[in-house]
Amino acid sequence: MTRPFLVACLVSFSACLAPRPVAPLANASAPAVPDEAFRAAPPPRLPVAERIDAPPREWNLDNGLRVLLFERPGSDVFSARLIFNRSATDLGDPGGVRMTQMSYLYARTGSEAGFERTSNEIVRSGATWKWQAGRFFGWSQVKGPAQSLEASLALLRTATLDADLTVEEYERRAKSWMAFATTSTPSPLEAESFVLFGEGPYGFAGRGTTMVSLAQAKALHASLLQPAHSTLVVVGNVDPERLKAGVARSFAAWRSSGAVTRTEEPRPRRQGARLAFVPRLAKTQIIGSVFALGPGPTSEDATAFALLAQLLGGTPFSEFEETLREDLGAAYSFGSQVFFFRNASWLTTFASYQQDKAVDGVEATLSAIRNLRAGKVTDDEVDMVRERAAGGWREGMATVEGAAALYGSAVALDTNLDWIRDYPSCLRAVQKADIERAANSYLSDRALHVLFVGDLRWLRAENLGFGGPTELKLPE
Amino acid sequence: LLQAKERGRSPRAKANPPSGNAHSLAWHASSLCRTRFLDAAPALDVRSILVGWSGSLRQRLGPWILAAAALGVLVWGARRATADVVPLPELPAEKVVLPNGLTVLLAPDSRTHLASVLVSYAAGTADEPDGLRGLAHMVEHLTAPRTKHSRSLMKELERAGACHFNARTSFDGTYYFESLPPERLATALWAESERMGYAADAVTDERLEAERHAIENEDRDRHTDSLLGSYEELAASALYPPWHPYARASESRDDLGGIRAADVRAFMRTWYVPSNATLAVAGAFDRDATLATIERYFGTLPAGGSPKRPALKESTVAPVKLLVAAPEFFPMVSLAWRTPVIGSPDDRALDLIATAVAREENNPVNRALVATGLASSVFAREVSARLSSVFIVTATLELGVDPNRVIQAIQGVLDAVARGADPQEVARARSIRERSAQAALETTWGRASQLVLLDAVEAGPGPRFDWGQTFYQSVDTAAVTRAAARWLGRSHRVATIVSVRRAAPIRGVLTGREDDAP
Repeated sequence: MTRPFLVACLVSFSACLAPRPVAPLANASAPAVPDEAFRAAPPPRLPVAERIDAPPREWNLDNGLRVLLFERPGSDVFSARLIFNRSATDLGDPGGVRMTQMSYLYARTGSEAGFERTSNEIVRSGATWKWQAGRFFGWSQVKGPAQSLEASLALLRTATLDADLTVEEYERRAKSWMAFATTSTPSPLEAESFVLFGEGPYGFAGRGTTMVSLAQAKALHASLLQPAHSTLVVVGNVDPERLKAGVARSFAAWRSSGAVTRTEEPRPRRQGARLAFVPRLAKTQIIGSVFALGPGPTSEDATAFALLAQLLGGTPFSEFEETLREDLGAAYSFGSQVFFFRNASWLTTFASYQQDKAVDGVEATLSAIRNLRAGKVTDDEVDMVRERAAGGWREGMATVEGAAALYGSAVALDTNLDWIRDYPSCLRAVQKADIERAANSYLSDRALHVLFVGDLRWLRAENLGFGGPTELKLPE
Repeated sequence: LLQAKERGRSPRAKANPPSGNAHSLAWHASSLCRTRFLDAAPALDVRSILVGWSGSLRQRLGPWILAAAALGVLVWGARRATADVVPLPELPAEKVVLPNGLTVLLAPDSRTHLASVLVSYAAGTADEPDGLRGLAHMVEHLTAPRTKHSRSLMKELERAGACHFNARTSFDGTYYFESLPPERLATALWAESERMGYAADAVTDERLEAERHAIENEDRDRHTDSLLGSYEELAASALYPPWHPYARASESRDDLGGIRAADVRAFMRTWYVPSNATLAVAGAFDRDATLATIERYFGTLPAGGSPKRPALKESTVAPVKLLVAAPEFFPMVSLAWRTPVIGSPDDRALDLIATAVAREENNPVNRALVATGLASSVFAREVSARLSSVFIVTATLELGVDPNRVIQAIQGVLDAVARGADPQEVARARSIRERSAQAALETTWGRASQLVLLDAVEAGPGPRFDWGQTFYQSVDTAAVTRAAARWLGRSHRVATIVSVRRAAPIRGVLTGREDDAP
C-alpha cells in the first residue's frame, strides 16, 4: 500500500468518526406547563355555513355545445373545463388502449408549431392548459386569472381544437410510449379492475403491444372532439355576459363532423377470481386489497357506499387505521377509495403490508366489513365519516380547478349536478341503516375479492376462506 | 400504487386511478388521494422545500409517470415573451410575536370559506444527534396524534371537518397543518397548542414501539420498494462528508431501535417550544378574535431555550460519477451540485436558472435533449435548505442513447449560461416564478405555506410585503451568469447514471463509482 493511500484511508476514517455538528438536546427537566381547564377538551363544534355554489347558468350554442357557469364572486381565478362526453367504448375501443395512446400523442398539442403557438397564448393569458382523453371521457382545461377570460378561452380552443398530429411528433412520442409499455408493470389498481371487469369497459386491457396508427389517432381525436356531445364547465368570478361573448368568439365556429352515438353499457358483472395474486418477487412489502363492485352513481345507495369506504379506512386516522397500524403493526401506507363509472362503481381498501402480516391485515379488513354488514357501527362513527367526507369535498371545491373537475365528472357520469354542488346535504341524508343496507347489498362475502401483489412465498392465504389463489395473467 | 412519491413523512397511500380518467370523486375517499406529480410546483410553496431534493427525481421518473403523461400539462412560457403583469389581489398579512417568542403570521380574507393553520418547528432530521437518526421523524409520528388531553388529535380535527391535514418532517423543519371551516378554526388552534405543550406527556415506550413498526413499514414503502429509492442516499453521500447533517437522507434502522421515550421528550423540550415555532393562519377568520384565541392557547406556554447549533466546517465536493442499476425503469442521468443556502442571492439566481433551462417545456435543455431525441423528459430544480441547497437536473433517456452524451449536453447548456445568460430567458424565468407564487395563493393552505416560507427567508409580512411577487426582481442577468459560473461547474458535479437491469433491487444498486475530474 502506498503512503498517500494510507493517508487517504486515515482521513476518511477520521471523517466518519467526526460527530455530527448539532445542538445538544435539553436534558434538564422541562419548565412547568400550565394546565388550564379550557385545555381539557376541544372547543365546541359550531355549525358550519357551507359554501354551496349557486345553481349554474346554462345555455347552448347553435352547434350544440352546452355551457355551465358556476359563479364564484370572490375568486381571483377561473377554470374552464371542456368535457367530451364520449367513452372509448363509444368510439369502438372498449379497452381504451388506443384512446390512452392518442391522449399521450396529443399531450403537446401534436406538433412543434402547435406547441409554440400554444406557448405564446399561455404567456399572453397567464393561464395553464391540461388535456386528457382517457377511457371514459375526455377533457381539456384552462385555468387563469379572471381578467384574462377571453385569452384563456382562445387558448383552450387553440390547444384543443386546432391541435394537429404531425408525422414527426407521432414518431417521437409513439417511440416513448412503446418504450414505456414494454418496461412498465401494471399497478395493483389495474390488476383489480382486470379482476372485476376483464378487458372490457372499466377493466384493464394493457398498454398495447402495438401503437395506434397516425391515421387512427387523428380519427379518434376528431371523433371525440364534437360540440354536440361536449360541455364547457366554467367556475369562477366570471361575468355571464362576458363569458357568453367569449365562448361564442372561441367556439361558435366549431363545426360538428358527425356526433358519436352513446353506447349504453350494461351493468358489468363480476368476472374474475375471488383470491388473486400477482408475483412481484423484488418487493419487500406485500400489497393486499379487498375490493368489490358497487352501485352506479345514480343509485340511491351511492352516497352510503361512498361512506363505507370512509369507514374502511378512508383516511389515515380512522379506527380501522389504528387496528392495522398500531394493534397489528402491519402497515403504514393504506387507504380506501371508490371509483364511479356510468353504470357501476368499485370500492377498494388496500394497504402495503409487512410481508408476514399481509394475511392478518386482510383478515382484519374482512372482519371490519362483516361488522359493517352486522350493523356494528355507532352513530358517532357515522357522524365522523360524514364530517370526513365533507372535509374532502371542501378541499376539492376550494379551488376553481377542483370544482370544475368535480362538476365535469358529474357531467360525464350523467348524474345530478346537485350531488356535487350540495354534497353535504347528501351526506346528512345518509343514516346508519343506509350504510348497513349498502354493506349487505354490495359487500357480502361472495361479492368480495382479494388481491395480493408481492413476494407470495410469505403468504398463507388458505385460511381466508376464498378458495385457492389464482395467478393473474394481465394483458400487455 | 402505494409508493408515496413525496418525501413528506405522514401521508399514506397515494392512490392513482387506473389508466384513463376513472371517475374518481376524490372526496369520496381519502382527501389525501392526489396525483400531485403532474402539478406544476409553485415556486415558493413550502412543499417544494419539504419534498426533499430527490423527491423531484422520483416524481419525474417512474414508468407510471409516463402513463400519466397522457394527461398533458402545459405550463411553459414562450422563448421570447414574458407574461402580462396580472395585479395581485389585496391580501393583507401581518406578523405578531407573542411574549414567549411564538411567531404568529396572519392573513385574513373574508372571501374564502376555509381557514388554514400551519405550525412550523425549525428542527428536523439535521438536528438529530449521532446514534438517534430518525428521532425527528419519530417525534412527528408520536406528536401528530396523541397528547395529554387527547387520545387522537387527528380524530378531533376530522370531527371538526378538517381537510388537507397532515404532518411532515424535512432536514430543517417539522410541519403540522390543517384546514377547517372557519367556524371551527379554534379546534385547530387547540390541537396545535396541545402538540406544542402537551404531547411530550403522552409519549411512552409502548407507543414508541408501535410507531417504530409504522416507521419501518413506511421506510420500506418509501425507499426499499420505491423505484430508485436509494438515489437520495447515494447522492447525499457523494455531496456531503459523513459528518454533515445532510449526509444521510433517511433514518437508520439501528438508531430507530435505540430511541427511547426520554430521547423524544428531550428533543421536544429542545425544539418544540414557542421560541422555535411559527404559527401561520390564513383564510376566513376575524383577526382580533383569532389573535385572542391564539394568545389564550399559546400565550402561557413557556418560551423554551434557544439552542445554538455549532458552525459547520467548510467542505468540498469531489467530482464523481455514480453508476446505478435499477429494474423496470428507463435509463436516466442526474446531475447534482451543492449550492448556497436558502434565501441567499445566489440561491435565488439558481432558482431562475433551473426555471430558465429546464423547469418548463420550452427551454434550452429540452431543445438540446428532447427535440434531438436524446431524452424523453428533463427537469431541473434548485432545492433550497438551511445548511446547503442542491441544484439538480434529471433526464429520462430514450432507449439506446449514450448517457455521457446527455451529461455533456446538459453541462453544455449550463456552461452557456455561465458564459452569459440570455436576458430574455431570465425575464421569462422570473415571470414564471412570479406567476407560480401567485398561483399558490388560490388556496388558504397555499397562503399559510407562503407566509411561513417567506418569513423564514426574511421576506415575510412587513411594510413592503407582497407575497413574494418581487422575490426575484433583484436577480439580474449578471447575477444569474455569476451564479452559474460559480456553482454549476463540472469540477464539483455529482453525476448519476441509472441503467435498466431487470434483476436489480427495486430501490437500485450502486454498481460503480468513477472519478469524474475534468
